[in-house]
Amino acid sequence: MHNVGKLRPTIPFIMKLSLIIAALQLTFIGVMLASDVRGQNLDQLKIEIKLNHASVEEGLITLSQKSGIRISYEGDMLEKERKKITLNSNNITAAAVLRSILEKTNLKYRLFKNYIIIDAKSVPQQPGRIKGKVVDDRGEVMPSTSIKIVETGQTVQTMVDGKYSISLKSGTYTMEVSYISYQKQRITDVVVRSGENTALDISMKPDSKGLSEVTITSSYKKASVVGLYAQQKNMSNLSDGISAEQISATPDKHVGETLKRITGVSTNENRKVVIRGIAERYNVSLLNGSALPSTDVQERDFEFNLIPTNLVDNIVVAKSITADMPYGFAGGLVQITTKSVPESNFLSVSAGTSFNSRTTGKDFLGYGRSKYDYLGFDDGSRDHFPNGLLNLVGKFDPTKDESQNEIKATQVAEENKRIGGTERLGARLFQSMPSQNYQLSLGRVYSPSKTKEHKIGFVGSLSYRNTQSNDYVSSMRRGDWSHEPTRGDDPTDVNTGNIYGFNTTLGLLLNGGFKTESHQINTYNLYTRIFDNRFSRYTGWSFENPKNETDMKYGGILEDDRPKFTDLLQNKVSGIHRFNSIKIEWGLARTSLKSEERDAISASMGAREIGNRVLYTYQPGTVSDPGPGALHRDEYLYKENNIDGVISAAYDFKLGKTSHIFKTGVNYLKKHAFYDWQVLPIVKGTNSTVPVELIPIQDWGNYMSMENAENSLFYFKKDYTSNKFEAKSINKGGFVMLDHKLLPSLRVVWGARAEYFKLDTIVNSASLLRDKNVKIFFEEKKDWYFLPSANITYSPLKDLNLRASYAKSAVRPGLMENSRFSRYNPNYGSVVRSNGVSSTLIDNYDAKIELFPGAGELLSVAYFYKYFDKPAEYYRIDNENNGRGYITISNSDWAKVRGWEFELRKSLGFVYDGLPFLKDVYVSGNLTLQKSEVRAREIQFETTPAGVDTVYYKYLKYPRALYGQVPLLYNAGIQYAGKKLGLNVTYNHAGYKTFITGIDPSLVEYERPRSQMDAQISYRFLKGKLETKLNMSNLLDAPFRYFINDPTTYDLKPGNEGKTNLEWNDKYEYKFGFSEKFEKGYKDKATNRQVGDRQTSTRYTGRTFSLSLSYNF
Amino acid sequence: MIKTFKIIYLVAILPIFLFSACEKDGNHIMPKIKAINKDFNISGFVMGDTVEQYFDGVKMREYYGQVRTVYPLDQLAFEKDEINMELRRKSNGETIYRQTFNINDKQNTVPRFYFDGSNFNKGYTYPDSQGDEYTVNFYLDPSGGSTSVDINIDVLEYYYDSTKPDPIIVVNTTTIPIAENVKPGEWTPYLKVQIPMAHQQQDGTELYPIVVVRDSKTKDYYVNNKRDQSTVTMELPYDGVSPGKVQSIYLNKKTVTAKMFYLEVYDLIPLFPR
Repeated sequence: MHNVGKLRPTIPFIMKLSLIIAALQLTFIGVMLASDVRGQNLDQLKIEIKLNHASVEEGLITLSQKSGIRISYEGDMLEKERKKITLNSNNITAAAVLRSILEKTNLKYRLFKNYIIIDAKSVPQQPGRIKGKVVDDRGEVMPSTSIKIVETGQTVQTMVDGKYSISLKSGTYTMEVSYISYQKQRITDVVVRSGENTALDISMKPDSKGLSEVTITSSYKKASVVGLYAQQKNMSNLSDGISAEQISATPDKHVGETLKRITGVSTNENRKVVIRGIAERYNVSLLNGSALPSTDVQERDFEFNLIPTNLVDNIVVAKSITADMPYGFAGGLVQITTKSVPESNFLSVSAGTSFNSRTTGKDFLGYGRSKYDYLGFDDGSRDHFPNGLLNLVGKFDPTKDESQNEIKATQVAEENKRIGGTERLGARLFQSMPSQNYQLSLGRVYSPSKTKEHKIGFVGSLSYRNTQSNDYVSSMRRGDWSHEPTRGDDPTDVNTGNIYGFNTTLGLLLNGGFKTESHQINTYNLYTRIFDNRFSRYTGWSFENPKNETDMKYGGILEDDRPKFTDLLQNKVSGIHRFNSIKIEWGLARTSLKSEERDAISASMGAREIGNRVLYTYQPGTVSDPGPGALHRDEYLYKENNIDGVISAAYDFKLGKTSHIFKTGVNYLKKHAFYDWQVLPIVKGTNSTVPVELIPIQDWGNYMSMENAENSLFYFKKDYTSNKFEAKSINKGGFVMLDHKLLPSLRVVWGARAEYFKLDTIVNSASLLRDKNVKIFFEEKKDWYFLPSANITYSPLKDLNLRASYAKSAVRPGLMENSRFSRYNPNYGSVVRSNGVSSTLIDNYDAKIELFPGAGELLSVAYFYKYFDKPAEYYRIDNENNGRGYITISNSDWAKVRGWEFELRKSLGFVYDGLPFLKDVYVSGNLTLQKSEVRAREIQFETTPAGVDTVYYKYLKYPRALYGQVPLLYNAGIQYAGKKLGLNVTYNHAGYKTFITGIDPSLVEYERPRSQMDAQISYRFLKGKLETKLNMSNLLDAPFRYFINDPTTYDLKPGNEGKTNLEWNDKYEYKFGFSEKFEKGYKDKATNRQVGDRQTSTRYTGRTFSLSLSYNF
Repeated sequence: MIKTFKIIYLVAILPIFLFSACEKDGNHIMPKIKAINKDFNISGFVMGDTVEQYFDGVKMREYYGQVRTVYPLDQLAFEKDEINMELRRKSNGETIYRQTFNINDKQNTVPRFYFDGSNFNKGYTYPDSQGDEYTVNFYLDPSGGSTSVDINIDVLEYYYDSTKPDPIIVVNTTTIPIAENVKPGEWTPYLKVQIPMAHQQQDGTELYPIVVVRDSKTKDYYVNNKRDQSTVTMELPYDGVSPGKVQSIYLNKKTVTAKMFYLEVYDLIPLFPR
């Protein structure tokens, strides 16, 4: 600060001037010229002053002018003050004015010689914090462990979850960590910086010599590395995970992005989790220990992007099973744990936007929206399903005389009116918007007792996201679409489409808890509201009516609009209690899911070439359609209520020098599902002359008055059954588990579960007329299963683990997987139906070698073998032999999967010591190689002479690959995580994958290999408080490509003509140049037909660039 | 201060994004059709250059050879009260004909036209028949290749044997020339067609006259080197009973596959009745 005042008369004028100019130029200093002042005068000097909404600087100038006191200050300092002063007095002391001006500012004054000097108040130094977790040599958390700061004498105890947090002034400290029968640790050089957290996880070693006083002394650096090792090395099972600290080093916003960082885990569009190349069906996801229901009725998926990463405490993916895990899996168990009691207070806001190269700024089509779609709610414009609608099947026919109809035309007109008009129908163009997301997160922690380690706190999050997507399908040759061009040389003979996605997601998360050294009670509450609208629009020719140059010159259009509103509410209470050597854990959760597709519309348009144009006309259905017909609006309501409870007790004991844990517990999960649907076809009478070509579909509601019934349009509700499904399942079990630490380097964990599962289908209506008499054969061999498991970990060297494990597990069918509900899926071009699914039992064998060359570094090799008894797979079945079939989920006989897994994570610090940043650069990669074989079976239906319907299976002798299995999967990445800058580039490759299987190659659909590259850049500003992230995903714009080995690529083996009962492998062989893999083929010049594999679906999702800003207060 | 700005920024941006984007109705992509006139007619003949048909600036189709109107191309859908039709030469984009159709017109008819590749004519002109004489001129379309052809009457003497894969057994052929060395791309003069006369050489046979096209140089059948695929459907005079006739035969060898062709034949006279 430059201190300038009125100069004494003895100082030359020129000096004064130059000094003032220099000071002004450099520091914007304010200068007051006035007479001398002494401190004691201020309270006596009375002045008259008038300030009206004046700034601090204006106030000081006025004071100086009125009082004649010299005041010196720094211009910059005053500019930061926003205070406005209003003061009006005729007789006030200068001191009172000064106090009034400076009150509630960061300024103070002092007297120096003859000046008043305005200074900034000193900012109190913020404390720093040491925090972390104390674990034992098995990786078990250690509550009630004493941690003492030698320099200050401060002592804290770890909480029930082993965590501790100590608030300290900045400095370098020494910590002492002690627990009875464990070696005391002294950790030196722990540096605490003001306002920052110093993370230190500590691993304790048992004191094998009893109570003798042994103290291990190590530096902070060494202790933190050991702590990290301990977590990696000491898991009882094969698992990989990512902690809150590791997540915070990434630019990830939500769990969907983070899951991909875990070894062997990949996600399909942040929804379906694939672990070790094994499909989502065999993986289980738990949020705070409770199973997540699928947000889709006919497929298993969950939107992981609902859970923001800043609320995640850790994510662990278990790949081998211990008896205390209540849910069976084959690929992996994803356990997401959100924070409940934060270590320190936080408040963060974030906002982000993203652009997609195929969506933003491009045409975005859809049916009519509601006013509140952006908010995730409907304004009533999709409300077209009043109660008590009449079933018109067989009761109304407009061609019949009124007297012959049980339900009269006036009643139908009344119903049409109640249902409402067709204003929402018809494709229209919207402006596509960039995606946007906002989030507010808050965490608070309180310590009610100053003497005891008690903490109470909560975390909450409110998030909003709107995403719009436009997937371009450049080839659609699935199911009911034409399978090949009529002429091989006609590039226009191709079916194409777009899937427009509009998604608004609101999320509210509120967790809280109370914890002491011995007890912890948490509550987890998650509410999410998702409005997801998928509008598919395909153009092309059907399998039945392929292109020709006369009446099928132009392809028709199929539109499908599915606005779905989903509410998910999960409430959970859980607790951990320690009583000396006994630890009790319990949890009770309630999950409810309501998923409502409101006014889902299927419509098709025929294309007719007339003189001056191609006329596309929406086609109404007819009264005689056996199904819902060409045009229908539907409502689907799914509700699922789950209650689950777990309780377990663990007892620590020692036998000689060996330590053991005995653990036992029970679990209970009850699921109850309801599904209701209504289908309202829009039809016209058989002889109707309603000019639908001239009436825009949005006006069809004006032609539903039924005054002339035969020439009206009307809603023809067709109920062949009750349109309802209800089922409940009970899954309960108990386990006994023993965990032995037999030697310092040998650990054995073994146990068994007894598990009961029962699925009761209470109401099971068929949704299609043809399924009215179809029975679901649900074959569950028995209710109780005995599921043993064992894990051995041996560490012959300090940095080396050898692991082996065996476990038996059961994967249960979903409630809806045994329904008789069928529905056309526009993106599969087929109806998806159920044939009945039973549990899959899996024998899992794993072996793994892990090497930990350094902190955060890992080199591992694993081998696994799994035997699936009755694996459930997605089949395409063509019982009607129409070449298209339908898709269903069904059990095969058995499957065997064996594979290798390699993982590497290594810092580049070893390359060159002269470049310290290399220590923060990690290269990582993992590779999974696997092979699977399945014995498929084909269900056969038979009626016995006694008239009883039975089923039996025909087994196929040639094995094939398991559905969903990926034989080659690898991820490679390079990451730099500096203090401010973070860079991350990842490359992911998945090999051939069986998408839908079948008993004949012409029905088996594969996904072609796909490679994806993503990059992320993050930078922290303002001492790390403001973080910006730029994510670039799918940089290669790699399409999802599917194919079927077309019959043109294989020939009958000689001598097999006319033989119908042969298996494909016996009957056919691939032509030269063709195999099970994708071969594009060639155009046969003689026939002008394409010979090659059928490209069933090719879908581009575009490159996405997202930018987000988050600020932590 | 930063906190304040941040919050103000967020509070301001959020509703702008949310509500500026709350489009409810969008713009319908399917046009509203005011009327469909079901009496549209266009007919004629095109050769020498392809004619493109545009409606309101949008190309709908190409014409080459016979132009006629079949269902449902006999309909015009009116989005507005008028539709503008243009016919353009494909080679240079030149508009050769324009017509506007009105929603109130009962019929929307394009006068019958003949386009010879350079001139757009309202009809095809041809001479009257003279007495009982049969005259014919030929046009061989150059798109079929540069080969000149001979066009003859072949009187086939045959018998029928149903046991053979090809039951027509030809035992003798009498050739009567009609035109020789017909060059592609130009009409021949009107040529007189002789009455096909032949004598049976065997008992139990029949005589049947056909008109065939042969390569002038090689004398091979013109299309796929097969007689039955190289025939021209035209009317031949019969001795004593024919009233006289003029025919204008247009021939075009068209491609099916790389090595397979067929012969398109039109007689222009019935397409342009007087």
